[in-house]
Amino acid sequence: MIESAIHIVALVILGYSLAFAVAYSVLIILTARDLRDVALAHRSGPASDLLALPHTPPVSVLVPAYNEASGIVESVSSLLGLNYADFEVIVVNDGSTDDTLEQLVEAFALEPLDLVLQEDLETKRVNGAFHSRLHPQLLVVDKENGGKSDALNVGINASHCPLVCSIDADSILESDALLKAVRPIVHRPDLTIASGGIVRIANGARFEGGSLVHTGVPRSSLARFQIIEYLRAFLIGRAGWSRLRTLLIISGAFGVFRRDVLVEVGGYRTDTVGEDLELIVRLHRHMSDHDRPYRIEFIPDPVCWTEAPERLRVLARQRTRWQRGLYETLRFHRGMLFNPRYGRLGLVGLPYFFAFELLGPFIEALGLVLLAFFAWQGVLNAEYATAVIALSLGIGVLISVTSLAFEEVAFHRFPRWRQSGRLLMYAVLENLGYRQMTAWWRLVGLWQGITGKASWGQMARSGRLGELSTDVATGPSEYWTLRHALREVTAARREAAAAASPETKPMDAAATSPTPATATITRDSARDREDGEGPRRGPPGPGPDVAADGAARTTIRLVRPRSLAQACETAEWLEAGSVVVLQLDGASPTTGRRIVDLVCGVVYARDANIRRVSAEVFVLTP
Amino acid sequence: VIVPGHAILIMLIATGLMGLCALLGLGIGKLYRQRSMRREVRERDALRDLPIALAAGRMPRSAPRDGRGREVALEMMVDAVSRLRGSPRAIARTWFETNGFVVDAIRELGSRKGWRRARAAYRLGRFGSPAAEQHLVRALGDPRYEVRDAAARALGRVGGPTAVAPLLEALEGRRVARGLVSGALLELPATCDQALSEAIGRESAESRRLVAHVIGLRGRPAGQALLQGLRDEEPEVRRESALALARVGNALPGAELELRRLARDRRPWARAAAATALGMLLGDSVAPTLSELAGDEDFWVGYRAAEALTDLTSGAHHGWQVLMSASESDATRRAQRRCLEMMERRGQLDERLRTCIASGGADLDNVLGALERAGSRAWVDVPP
Repeated sequence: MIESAIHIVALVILGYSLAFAVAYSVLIILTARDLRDVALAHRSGPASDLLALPHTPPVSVLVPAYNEASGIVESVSSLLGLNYADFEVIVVNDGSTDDTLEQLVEAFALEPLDLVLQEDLETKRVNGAFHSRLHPQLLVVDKENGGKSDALNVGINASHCPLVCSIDADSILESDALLKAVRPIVHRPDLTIASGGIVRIANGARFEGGSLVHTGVPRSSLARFQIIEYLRAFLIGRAGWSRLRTLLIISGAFGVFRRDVLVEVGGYRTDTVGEDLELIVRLHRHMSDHDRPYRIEFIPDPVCWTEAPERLRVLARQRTRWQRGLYETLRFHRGMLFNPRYGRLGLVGLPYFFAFELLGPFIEALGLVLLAFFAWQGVLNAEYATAVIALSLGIGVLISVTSLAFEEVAFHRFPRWRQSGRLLMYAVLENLGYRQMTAWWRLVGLWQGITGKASWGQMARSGRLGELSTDVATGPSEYWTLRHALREVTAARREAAAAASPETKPMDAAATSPTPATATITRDSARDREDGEGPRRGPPGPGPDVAADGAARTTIRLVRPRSLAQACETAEWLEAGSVVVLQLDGASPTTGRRIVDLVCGVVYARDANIRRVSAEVFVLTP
Repeated sequence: VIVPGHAILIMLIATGLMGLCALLGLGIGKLYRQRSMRREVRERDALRDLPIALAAGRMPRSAPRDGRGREVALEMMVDAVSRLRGSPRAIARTWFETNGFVVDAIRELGSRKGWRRARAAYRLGRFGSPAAEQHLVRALGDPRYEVRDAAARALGRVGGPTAVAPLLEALEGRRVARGLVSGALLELPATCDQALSEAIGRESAESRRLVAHVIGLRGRPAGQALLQGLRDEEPEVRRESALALARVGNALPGAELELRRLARDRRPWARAAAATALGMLLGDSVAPTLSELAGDEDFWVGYRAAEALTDLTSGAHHGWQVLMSASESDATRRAQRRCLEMMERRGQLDERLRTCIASGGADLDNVLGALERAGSRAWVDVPP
């Protein structure tokens, strides 16, 4: 009885591996067709051709940074050197506990910026924003810690470009990366909503000035295993899926999205660790639900290089997180699984992910356990078992070697025989230990996902996808304008909110009100209330009218002294709380200097401010 | 035994064979790549004098008749041409024509493979030979979008006045994206101005709008076309025409009337465009209109008007007087605040104030009053 049950399980496992082999073969065949095109990548002109177009859409590059002090300056400088006509870099400091922000402030001469973010997406509180005098296209937003998704959502709020590009703080983009990624969007602006490229391992490669000068095989064997893994995942997996129009992942390390669509689906989800995967699935779902034609493109061109962890613990954490993210995504969207409404995605794409990516490590572990059980029972036929094991290893090696061959044909980034030989060796070794190790981590991740807290609820708004608007000029010179516009709009909104409910604070104030942490910003924002409305400070309830009265009570006095005695008036007015404009055109230069000396004394004593407006005009404020 | 042993064995052998194939593919691919790269380096070395001659303004020697060298020569020259301007382009054109590359590419435009057609279209654009125009126009109807897009870009480089209509038709038929069509129209030579101006009379509003936009980007006077655009029935076309007129800087008789009408449009973006155009084209006489627009309810209208008002250098004083009128209305307050911020932003506030004071004390009171009402952040930190 038990034996027959075990036999059935064994049969299931065998059938499973067979199905896996078949699925991968199909993907390999699909990819092989695509790679031919890759080898002829520049067929319709180089990517830089797009630079000259007046309608190449501006892009915001979003860099979420949490405790990235070691590399943030370097990666931001390399991003600022991207080869693109019109882009901005928005670094979102996600409440780092180290000196990430200080490093940025120092390196780029950042100054506090009086900024009110758009409130398209709900996020944690934003503490303030900084811009750079050296690089007008750099914006740094400082916020409370809320995770990567939340940081990205803040970045989306801060962006004014029709396209946003999300990248990891530790990845390096090739200088043409943005051009290449934006290309499908320029060519099919009415269809393409997202595009992503191949991510490769930067370990062992050398970069100079943001461009790759040399690729090598890294020393660390963990990194070598990961090279094989990434090649397999990107060259065989994604290219094939993209061909089937069911691309499910655009890596968080590099992806370009239409901002309006992101806002429409509610941005990144903050309650999952697999936010990049989840977002793409949600985009698919949203567009299918509204019957809108769309494309999510994959550019089979290595554009982004990322640092792979070389320490076991870091790698374990990463893999556990990925698997948990996968589980959460599939749980959120389990309604799409085997749902013919979603076409290939529901019938092929998601089931594949469910069966092979999610359950894979489970089945693998089960197989190993079963093997041990048979051996212990003594029912194991040695020859037969060897054959089965050899078969499963053979399939693994075959897939890895194929992806290496694809790399060779399409990209040729490892030109030497020795490099290929080493990688080949690791493609074999990978199946003897490394794969089992990652399977264990993934199993742990799966378990964490299942036992973890469940959270539900989904934001989805509807709307029609119009043509990508590139009308609004959002070049760096216009940022000031746009932010200014937002300030005015938000102020009006607050005013309306305050008028409607004088007893309660407006909701949006919490999202944008500054904290004392950055004193300069607080002062700037206090100035912000130029219309005199003050719902954020002071006793609750001052409507705009009351506040306007308050402002009108402050009077401005003009003083034109001819002698020192007449200037004493200044001190009296200051005492009374008025603003004084001191005009010295009536006094002789010597008297003028003495008057200024006197006034400076008064200003010091009263703790007031003085500002020189022109050669002979000073403004004094209490 | 669950599955017959020999089945497993067969699968094992199959896997092994496939693995061998993959290994062979890897090896052969590597060998081939290494060899072809070495050869290409050699060939590039041998042909290095071609682009050098071109850059120096001499006619390069003819390309190899056939073989890989010919392809390499072509690639090098196309790359060189895309980086060179002026007379070398004319030389390169003759070189491409006499060496038969143009004929080759036109033939390749009929290839069965999409990527070949796209490549041919791209190259024809780089060759600069007008003989390609009609073929490229035909390629605008290609079933593959890569080919259509490449053909549109190429038409911008080699096309003449007759290319305007097909490009706009491709846009109207949703065959080529707007961004690419506008890029192509922008690149057309000056001889196409006339054809472009005439295109403002096209039936499709989208085309008219794009044409007005491109005329503005090209920056050359386009006769009565923009005036016609200003009188267009579509508000979007009117707006683009106003912006284009502002860019071109050509104050046509009759434009003022149309712009003033546009300034009263109920759509904010139309009013904003009118403000920009009025400021750019007309002098002090429009200051009152602009100050009125500066107090507009819509931010963008006000912003553009304030910008225009600040730019009116000679009319600044007049503008100030209009602005600093003691009126207490909301609109005036808004206008004053926006103008003050604009001047502060441009670092002109101090200077403007000096001018104002120099011209008489009476003004100063008004200015200060305005500052107070506007609660200008630049000057006065009004305590809460």
